[in-house]
Amino acid sequence: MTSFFLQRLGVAALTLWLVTLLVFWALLLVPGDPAQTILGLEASPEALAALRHQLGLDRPPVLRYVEWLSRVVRGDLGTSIRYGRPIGDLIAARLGVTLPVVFASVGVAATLGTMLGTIAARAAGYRLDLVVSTFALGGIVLPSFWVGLLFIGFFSVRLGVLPSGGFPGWHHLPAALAHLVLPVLTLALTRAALFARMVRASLLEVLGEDYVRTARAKGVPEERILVRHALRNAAIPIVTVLGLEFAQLLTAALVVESVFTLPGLGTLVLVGIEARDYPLVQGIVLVLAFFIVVLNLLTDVLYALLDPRVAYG
Amino acid sequence: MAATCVTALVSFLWLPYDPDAANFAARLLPPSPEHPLGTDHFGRDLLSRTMAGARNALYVGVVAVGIALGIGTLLGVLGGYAGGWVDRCLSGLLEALYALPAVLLALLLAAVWRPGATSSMAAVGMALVPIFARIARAGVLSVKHQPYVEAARALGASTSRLLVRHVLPNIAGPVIVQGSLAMGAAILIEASLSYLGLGTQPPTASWGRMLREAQSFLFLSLYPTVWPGISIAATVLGFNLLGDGLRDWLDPRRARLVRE
Repeated sequence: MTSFFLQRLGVAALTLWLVTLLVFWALLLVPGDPAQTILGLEASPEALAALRHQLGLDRPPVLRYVEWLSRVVRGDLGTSIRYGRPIGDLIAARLGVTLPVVFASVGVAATLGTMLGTIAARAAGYRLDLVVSTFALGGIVLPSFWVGLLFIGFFSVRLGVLPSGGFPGWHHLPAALAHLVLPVLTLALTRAALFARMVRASLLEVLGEDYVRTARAKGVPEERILVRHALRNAAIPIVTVLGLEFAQLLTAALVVESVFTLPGLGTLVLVGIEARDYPLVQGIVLVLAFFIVVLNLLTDVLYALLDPRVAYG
Repeated sequence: MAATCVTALVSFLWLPYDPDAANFAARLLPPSPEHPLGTDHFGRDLLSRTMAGARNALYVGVVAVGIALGIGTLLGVLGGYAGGWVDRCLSGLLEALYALPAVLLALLLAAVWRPGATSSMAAVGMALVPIFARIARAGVLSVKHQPYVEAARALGASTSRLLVRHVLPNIAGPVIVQGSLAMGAAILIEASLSYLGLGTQPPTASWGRMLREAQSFLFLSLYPTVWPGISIAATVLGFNLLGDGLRDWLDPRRARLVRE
């Protein structure tokens, strides 16, 4: 078990290191002088020199990479050009919006998806199954930001019951929650569709197993079979994709934030790109990649704990 | 999907109106005989723009998947055939790339280059590389020691001839299936990027961009929002169904299973 854990940890660390290489190498791709590109043609020579020094352009790339990496490891992502503030602080403030949205969406998606998937599996072959399966297909083919737009069109414009965007801050709790309903719903519905598909497929497989037949023969009530025997085993393959799901959801959240003009990481990174604030974009991409790698690691570990058959090799 | 391809083809030859021509007298009109899908906030014909969008979506999808398929298959075949440390290095690299979703790559590239169709196509292509590499590698591993490959090697065939003539044709099936599925994914991702303003730039009509522009006028007219979304969904659905169909067609065993 320990060796398995250490091995996964090693893979995660290697992945993160390669990501830092990639993120750093991208800066070398900037055509011409990055400082000039960032500041524009009208920049004063002093400002150019200062930025060149800040970006470390006056030193060789390898040395720069080592310095940059050693600062990143200590949690120092540098200073934003656009805001003139530490990038770590900027990201932390925005995570206060992005992370609640993402976690709430995962929760809603998992609950709804499991329910729908279970219903579909029990009604396999009937019309109800068809309805749920059609909905599940929608999760794959519908762009989440379009669903968000339709929600705004329906709930905000037609019914006028929910705000169409913006965020008042956490100290106005009821208003803040009202502003998060549509974004969370948008993200959760498309993801719930995928969940439902997996739960259905996985449950159908498990329900055909011998131990389920045995339980049925012993006269165990169907609900108990479902909860105690089937869902528990059906969860194993679903957990394996949770990590990937989270990555998908995180990037979908960046787009959906922009639909609802929420002040999260998604809108921050767009400002960064617009302002050619390269260190800021670099920092955000790194933080997001970090979350994704750590969640993949947790998924692997959870998988091993849930399913004792996983080879710890 | 077929409808999108036909629409894209037709759009080269004929469009009801110039998709970029503004007509301020006819802004945000509902569908009518002159404008079957209505008009947008510049009075541009929505049918023409949606058709031009189909052309753009297919172009972006084909280029992105082309990049992914080319590089991915090459790396996968290389790793799978060479084995040893080459394989391990490539696998590690691809796993790292896999941890970076397409949108993150696109953000990086958009920050480095100018945001535009090129950077978004490159990002989507790069993000899809690991998927093709994985499939190609698995295919090569299963084919590598087949008698016909060994026989060709014993007859003195060169490595490149071996790969091109004997290995590639036998792994092409799954790669093509994945290509169709990836087209759907690429079109979806590109639409999101264009919506964010990181993909195709105005005035070129792209579905994502159309949605971004339509959002400001959501309070006035729903039509500019409806059509591009439906087009994206239908196209992505089409490529997914095509992928599933191809898989059944290429794999007789699976087709039989499905029929039973």
